[in-house]
Amino acid sequence: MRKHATAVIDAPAGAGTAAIALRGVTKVYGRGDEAVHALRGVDLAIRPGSFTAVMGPSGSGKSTFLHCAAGLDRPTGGQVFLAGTDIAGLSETKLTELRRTRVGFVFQAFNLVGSLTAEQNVTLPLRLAGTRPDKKWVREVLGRVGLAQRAGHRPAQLSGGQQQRVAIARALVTRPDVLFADEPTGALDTKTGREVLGLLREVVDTFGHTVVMVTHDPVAASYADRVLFLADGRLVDTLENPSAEAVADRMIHMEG
Amino acid sequence: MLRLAFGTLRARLAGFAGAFLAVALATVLVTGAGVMLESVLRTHAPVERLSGTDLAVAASDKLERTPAMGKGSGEGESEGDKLQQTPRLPAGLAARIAAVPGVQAAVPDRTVPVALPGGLGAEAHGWDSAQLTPYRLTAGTAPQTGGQIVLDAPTAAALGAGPGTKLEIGTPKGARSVTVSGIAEGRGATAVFLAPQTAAELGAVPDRADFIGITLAPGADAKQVRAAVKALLADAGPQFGDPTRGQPKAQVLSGGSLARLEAPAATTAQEATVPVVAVFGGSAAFTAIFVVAGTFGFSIRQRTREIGLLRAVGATPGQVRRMIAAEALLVALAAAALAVPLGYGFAHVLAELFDKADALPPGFTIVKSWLPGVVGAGSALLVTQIAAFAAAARAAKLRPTEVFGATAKRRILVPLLRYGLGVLTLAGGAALLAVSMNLGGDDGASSSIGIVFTLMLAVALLGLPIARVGVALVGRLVNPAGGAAGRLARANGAAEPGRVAAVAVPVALTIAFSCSVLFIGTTVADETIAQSKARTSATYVVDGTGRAGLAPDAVDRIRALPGVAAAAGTVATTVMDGSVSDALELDARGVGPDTAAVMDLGVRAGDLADLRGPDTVALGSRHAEAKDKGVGDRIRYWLGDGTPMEARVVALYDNAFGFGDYLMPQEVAAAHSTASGYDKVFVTAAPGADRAALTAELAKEGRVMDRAAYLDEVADDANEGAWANAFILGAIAVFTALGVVNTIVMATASRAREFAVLRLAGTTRRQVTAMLRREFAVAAAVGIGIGTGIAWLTLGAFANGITGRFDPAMPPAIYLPLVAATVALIYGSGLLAARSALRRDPVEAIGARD
Repeated sequence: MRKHATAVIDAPAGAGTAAIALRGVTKVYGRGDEAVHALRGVDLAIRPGSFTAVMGPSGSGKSTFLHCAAGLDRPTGGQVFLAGTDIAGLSETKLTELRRTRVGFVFQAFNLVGSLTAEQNVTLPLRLAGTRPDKKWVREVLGRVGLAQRAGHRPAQLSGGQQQRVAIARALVTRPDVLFADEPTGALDTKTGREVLGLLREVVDTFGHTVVMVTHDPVAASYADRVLFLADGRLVDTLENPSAEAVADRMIHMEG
Repeated sequence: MLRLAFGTLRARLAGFAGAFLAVALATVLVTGAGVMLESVLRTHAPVERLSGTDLAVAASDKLERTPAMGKGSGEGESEGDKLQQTPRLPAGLAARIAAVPGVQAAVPDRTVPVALPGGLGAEAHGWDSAQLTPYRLTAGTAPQTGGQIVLDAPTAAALGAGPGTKLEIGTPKGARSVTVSGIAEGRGATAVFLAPQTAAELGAVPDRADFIGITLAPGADAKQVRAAVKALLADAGPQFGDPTRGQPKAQVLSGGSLARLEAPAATTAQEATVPVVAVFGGSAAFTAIFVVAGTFGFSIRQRTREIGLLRAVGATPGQVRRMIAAEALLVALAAAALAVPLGYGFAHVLAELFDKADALPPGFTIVKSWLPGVVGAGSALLVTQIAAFAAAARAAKLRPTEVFGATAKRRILVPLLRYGLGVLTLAGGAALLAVSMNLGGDDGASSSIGIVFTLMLAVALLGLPIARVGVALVGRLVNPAGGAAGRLARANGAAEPGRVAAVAVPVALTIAFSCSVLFIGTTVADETIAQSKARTSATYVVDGTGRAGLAPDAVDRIRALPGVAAAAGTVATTVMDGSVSDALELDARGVGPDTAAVMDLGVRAGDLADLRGPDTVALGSRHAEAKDKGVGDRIRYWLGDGTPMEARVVALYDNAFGFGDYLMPQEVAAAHSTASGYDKVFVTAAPGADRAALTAELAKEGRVMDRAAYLDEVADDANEGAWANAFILGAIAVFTALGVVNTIVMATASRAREFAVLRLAGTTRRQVTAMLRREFAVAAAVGIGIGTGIAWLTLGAFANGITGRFDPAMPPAIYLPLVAATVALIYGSGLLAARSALRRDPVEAIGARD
């Protein structure tokens, strides 16, 4: 048994200073004998302006961690603070509204609504929130992801990498506290993947956004400031300023 | 949100095409039914013979509560069902009305059917009725004595008659010789005139009139006269009517409402058509909800991923619901815009169907107002919103994580409300079945119709669990082990019961609906034919309908003919049974003496010979059982003209179906029916009689049929009735069948990606098609099985009502082709859709984005 994860992670002292904070979060799917313990007690606080990668072998609870931290799913036990608010007491509608303004998402694939143009996809969260999109800001966000010229294209007219850029622009358009990315390069070829990772790095460095990314690719993880390792539903290790080799090394040890 | 809905709609036209089509078809049906209903309601026979009549006093044609029969009190609630036989009122009232200031003349009018030479029939009235049109003499003089008649000009021309011509005419009270005294011209159907006193004598009840027609003096104020006549009627209370029996109230009519006095048959036909059209429209709207909800729910289910994405990027459950509602609104508006004009056109097709089924009232023309269009469009909006509500309830519950597909655990969403409602409806269907079986008789038969609709609703609500069980039961049967296609099909069925349900539910609805409608008709027809066969022991039947009827003296003449062993007449009438607010109209017969000698009614108790005197009745044994009456008991009911009756039961008989559950002496029937005399005389020939001579003699009285010809006619009428109904409601069955095609095409076309995966994994096109065939087989078996089951229960309960046996008859000669057509429809549409989905290159198809 390794050291308990809390010891190596910034203590979730004040939910107020962290973008996202988890305290003793557990998640159980199913009941009785068939119950699956996806998370077995995770404590964590994410510093604003940081790029964090979450790694772990298959079944380690990476995706569940992301869903719970982002307020997409509710934990079985423990607390999740989104922008300082405990989500436990929120109705589904209130939670959605909080998530809509404070959290951005980029998924592995199927990120875009096929019937809407790139620009319409980007402004979708704003429209859902009932705010009139600020044209200048939308154009700037599209510019940041390098798609200023493609605003009127439909997803089917864009390459896979371009689609992920649109997804990143959409995630940024609400100026979220945290941008969550779930295997954002999983469906892309190596070169395009690197470009998307570079873009994520850039939004942290240049614009001060906070990014949390789940990945199984050591190279992708190496773009982050810090890598958290999940195993069997617990945070088991952390690595600051990682290199791809160091991450791969840890992973080999974990699986071995 | 509306913009988003519109955006998705525009880009997903293909996905919405199915829902759009279903809504549009439903709207066409409902709008068409609406046009028909309005047209029938606005159909009024023209007022012609009474065009010179300012006011008329007639007995109310609605069933009334009387002190003798009433349950509870309250004057206002006495309005009841429409009477099928013309109620009459005392002719003496005319003299008192004539004394009202402003009244020029008050005429007691009677319609007496007479038979003229050459097979012509006509309505005879007293000459005093001529001023109600008015008819004016163009030649000769008015009839003064019982031996004189005035003909209208067309009749005179047809007979080649003029003043002085002698004629033999038939009347309900026997044949008589008359001399034409004059020729008159007027308006309306053929009319002949007798001396007023003669018309009164020949009327069913001499001191009663069908109505009293009033003409006003020049310059009289119609309003004032009307009020005065009303006051007189209220005042006339004690003298008006027979206090021991009670009488219907009198009404004052004018203008268009005089049509019901001039042509009671046309008015009755119109009123009989209204419920038929209403049932058609109601069934169309009811099935539309299923079909539209089915396709709509299906199109939403296919967008799980998109809805999950919207939820993930910040759409609240409420926003998802509103988006789906907005999409439904757009689909409904677009469909209504297309379908409402088509619906107005479809009304003509419906009118054709109704006409073929002989279900249109005389004088029917299609009336097109804005109202049916609004109702059609409104029902499109309502039905889609109901469908959207059901689909959105599930969609809004989707968690945003479900967008991740395989990486997230799929939750099984149990729609508790839906299943709860489904179980309740199922229980309701079972209860209805029990009630129907318990009631028996006509009440049981008519309540059985509710079973099919209740169970259809239950199946629609419980489609998924039913499909799951169905797949488990028939899956192995249809797909025995072995073969890749069979194994795949079985796995698909188990993994995606929703897909099986999507096909099986509309199939079940189609089969349940069409079988119930068709076979209720054939059950009635079969029972009518069987009982007629058992009943008819007569050698010949003489039919007098279409002429003046057969007067009682005709029966005496027939009885006296050489070679006749026995002869007895019957006349069809109606009685009403139940309560004032919910009276059931039942067939009844007035019969003459000797009925038992010409007819085997299967008398189970008592003796038909005791059917003498005004207060006796014989009952069909099944009806008596339902009413808990035996021989010697007294039973209360209403005669066809609304007269309350309390009679002593003198006999019970088994062979009542297609004849009547109430038998009464002919005199009673004649006094309380529109028709008088007999409509048929049954004749039993003596052994060794000269049949040719006998037939020739009988032909002088009416149309003669031998037993076989008579039974053929009964069978033809019964089958025609059975098919007429099925024919009309067939339009709805076609609609549900289109719903089947719609869902199958949608479901199959959406699987292009899955087919591509199979193709890339080495499955040949032939194997994919084979797999689909097996899947369809399972869905068809489940759907047809359930539909047949529902129809079987409904028909069983219906048969129990009319025959007393739970004996659902589904003639294979009709059922099997129906099933074959359904299967062909499923295979044809599904395999066609699959072929187009398989035509794409699999590599391209798999890369296609949803």
